[in-house]
Amino acid sequence: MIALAGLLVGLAWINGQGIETDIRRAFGVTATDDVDRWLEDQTAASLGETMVLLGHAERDQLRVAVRAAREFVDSSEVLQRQPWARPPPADSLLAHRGHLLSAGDWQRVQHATASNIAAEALRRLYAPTGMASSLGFDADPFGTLGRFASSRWPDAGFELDGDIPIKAGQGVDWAVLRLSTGAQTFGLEGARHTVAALDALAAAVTAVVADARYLDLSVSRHTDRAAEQSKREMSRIGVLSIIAITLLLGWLFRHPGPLVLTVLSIASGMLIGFAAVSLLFPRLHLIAMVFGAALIGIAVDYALHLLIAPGDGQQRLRAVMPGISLGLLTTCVAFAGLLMAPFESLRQVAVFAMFGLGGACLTVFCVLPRWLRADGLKPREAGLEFAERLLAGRPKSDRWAVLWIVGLLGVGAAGLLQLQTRDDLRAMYFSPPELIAQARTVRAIVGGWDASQMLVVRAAERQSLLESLERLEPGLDDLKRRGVLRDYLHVARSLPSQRRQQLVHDRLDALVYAPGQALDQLAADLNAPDTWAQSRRAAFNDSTPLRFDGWREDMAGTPYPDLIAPLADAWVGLVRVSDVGDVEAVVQWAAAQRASGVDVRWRDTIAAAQRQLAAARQGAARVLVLAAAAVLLVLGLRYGTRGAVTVALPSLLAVVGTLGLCGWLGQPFTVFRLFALLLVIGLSIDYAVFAREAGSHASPTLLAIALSALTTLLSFGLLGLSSTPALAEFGSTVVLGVVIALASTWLLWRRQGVAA
Amino acid sequence: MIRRCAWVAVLWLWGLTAAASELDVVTAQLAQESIVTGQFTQQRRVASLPFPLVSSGEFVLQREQGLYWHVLTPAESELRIRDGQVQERIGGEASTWAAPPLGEQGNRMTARLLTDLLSGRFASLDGLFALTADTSDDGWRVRLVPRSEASAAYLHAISVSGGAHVDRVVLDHGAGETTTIRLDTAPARELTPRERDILGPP
Repeated sequence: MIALAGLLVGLAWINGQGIETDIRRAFGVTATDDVDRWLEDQTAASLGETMVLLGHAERDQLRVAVRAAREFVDSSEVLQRQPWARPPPADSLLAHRGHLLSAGDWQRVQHATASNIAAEALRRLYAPTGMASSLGFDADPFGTLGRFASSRWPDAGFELDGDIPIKAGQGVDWAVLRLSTGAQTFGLEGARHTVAALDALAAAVTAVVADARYLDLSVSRHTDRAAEQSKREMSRIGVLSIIAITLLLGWLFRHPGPLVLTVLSIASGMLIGFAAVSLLFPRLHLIAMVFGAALIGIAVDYALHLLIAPGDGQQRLRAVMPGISLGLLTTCVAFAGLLMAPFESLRQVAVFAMFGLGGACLTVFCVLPRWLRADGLKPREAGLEFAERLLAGRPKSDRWAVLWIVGLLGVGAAGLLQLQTRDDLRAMYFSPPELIAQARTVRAIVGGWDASQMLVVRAAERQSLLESLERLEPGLDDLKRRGVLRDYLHVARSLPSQRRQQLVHDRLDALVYAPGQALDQLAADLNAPDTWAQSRRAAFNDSTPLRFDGWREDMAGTPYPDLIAPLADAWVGLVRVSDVGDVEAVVQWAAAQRASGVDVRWRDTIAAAQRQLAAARQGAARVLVLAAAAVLLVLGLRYGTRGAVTVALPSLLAVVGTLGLCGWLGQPFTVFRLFALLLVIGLSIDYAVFAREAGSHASPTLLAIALSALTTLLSFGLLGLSSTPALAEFGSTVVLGVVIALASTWLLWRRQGVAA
Repeated sequence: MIRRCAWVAVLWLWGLTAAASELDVVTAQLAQESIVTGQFTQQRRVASLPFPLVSSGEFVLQREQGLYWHVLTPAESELRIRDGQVQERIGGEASTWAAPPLGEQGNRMTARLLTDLLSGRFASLDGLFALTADTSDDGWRVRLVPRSEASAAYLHAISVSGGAHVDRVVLDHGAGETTTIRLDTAPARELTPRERDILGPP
């Protein structure tokens, strides 16, 4: 069977069976619609971008630092320079001069008269601010096209020193470099290369300008640090636990055999579990493999009970078989419940655990007894004496047990009332505080649009989408005025709808270019020759609307093309926002807009992922309760109602006590604690079942249980020391749960065995 | 070869130092009164018109704080810069001050450019413009060329000249369009209550 499992795993490996490493998908946090998928693609594309900030109080020194940085990047194989996104020159709009007005001018021409317009143009011509059109007076006598061109671009507060974007902040000037990493740099290896290149870049800059300040914002830096930290911790914790377990088993048995046999049972379980999952599922979730493998840790109990039991292989097997069988059955029943879980990764955990434990159990039953003789591989007498003393030291009166149960349930229940939940997948990653602080500083200096919060507008056609965006404009301006948000950006700001462009043309025709209107009045005020007005009128009449394709070509390299997309059945546009202070106000405003016919929705991708994760956690917790009921039923069949309750009590106490203590300690309940509780439940049922089935082998059984608990604490419990929140939560939950389960099993121990 | 390179480097460094020192000479010549008042004449040349467009009026410059620019002919309008922002008013006291449609960034840049140019505060414009200065017995002249293409779309070059004060500013907008502003500085005086009201803190 092990060979067959090995063959299946080998086949899966050769066929390149996909492994899903995206943790969001593992918990059912997936793109729910085509807009989500579109946004995910955009996010994925932005992950390779790095923002580097160089700061110096003196501009000359800053220029030298930037030059050094650019020279370094140009010679780098990992980093590439990206152009600073800025609008194309306004000249390309001249062909559409009669169709384009900024939002402000569009509002103005609604109420202005021809004489107002002429007077304003004249006044601007005489004012020192008259130079503020990049197109000049001849091409743009009323300044409307220049104002449209500059209104397309949000004010990010940057000034350009040559081609260096510079922004002031923290008392110095900051130059910003946009960099990207090559396609070969994805993954952990890529992150390592990127970080090394960025470190070398910082060194190259400070070698030239010693007091230049350097900041960067790169996903690679976080990935690299998280991976490095996890690797360091896992190897440290792993080595520590292996040494401790080896010493423990080596001391107890004075022989390496038990360690080898225990590892053999666990390894065979993992192989069979992996084979089952790869056979039943098209794609394996990495996280399911990791947690599934952790659950196989329960199998260590089976091997230890066999190793500690007295007699030869067959005698030992007869002694432990009922306990192991029932333990396996109840654990499998509990995990079978997870097959109804709402997301695939948990179903994979269930399959992995059930088949893995089954496989490990078969190894213990069929393979291990062959190596065990009556006079060999026995535990030290000291170990058994210790177990004897533990049993003898158990309080004789049931009062202590009752006190423990009532006390723990009371404290646990009170703690449960204070238990908070947290559904944040970012806890999977460790980011050191200094990197988080640096990211905040860069964001504060550079500003920009919120990556996870936005408004999404849908419409059947491209033109109706642009019209919808134009209808939102006054409301968005109002939100901006009220300080609900700092700024916003959408496509219609640079590409008005065809309808709006036609209205603009009609209005300008009537107000400005028709004979006797603003153009003629201005010409008269200026005493301009007749040809002056005629040539401007001709240019207006030759104007054509700005079309989507021309706009897209013009705007390549700016953020605009990413703000509009045709999806399966509609056109979708994003309204990017910045510094939203009152989300509720925006949500309510969007609802009001929907009521008036514009399909606009507030979207917070992080909040949505957290909601999905919360739903998944609740679903899994519900399934777990049902599974517990099923386990109780199985135990009831074997031990009767009272016996079943007694055997199930350690599990209940472990779960309630652990969660209650988390509540008291202010530690949140997360999906990672849920996984840890699965392990705790599996182990605590085993403890109680073995205790119940111990019969005349009470001391060896208790020793095996204590040993199992110790090895669990040494392997999974040490994860509680990890600085990666998810691992720490898993580890600390296992520690609390196993300690409570062990203490409960000891207190509720019954010497009489099943017959009693 | 090495010697020639060394000479080039020395000459280049000398050129840099010379430009810096010329600018220092200009700065040293400028009077340091905190308030400068006077009359101005603005002449704008546009390629499509055969004659210049001339306007005139009065100005008040508060070196560190702001500018009041009052066009009196041919059409009255007022402009003020305070707190780094440009505002305009048409129709005198009865009207309200409003930001011209320059955009936030355009407004800020215009405010900075006008006050720095008229105050002769060239060093602070070094980030935006490449500066060259020359001095003579008649006074000084500073030429500013935009460092970025984006700025060059608005202004090809600026030439400022003067003595104890800035006397003349020439803005070359490109495509045959220029604006020449002549400033006649009046003897130093205090702000009038009206001017204080216009330029006072918001």
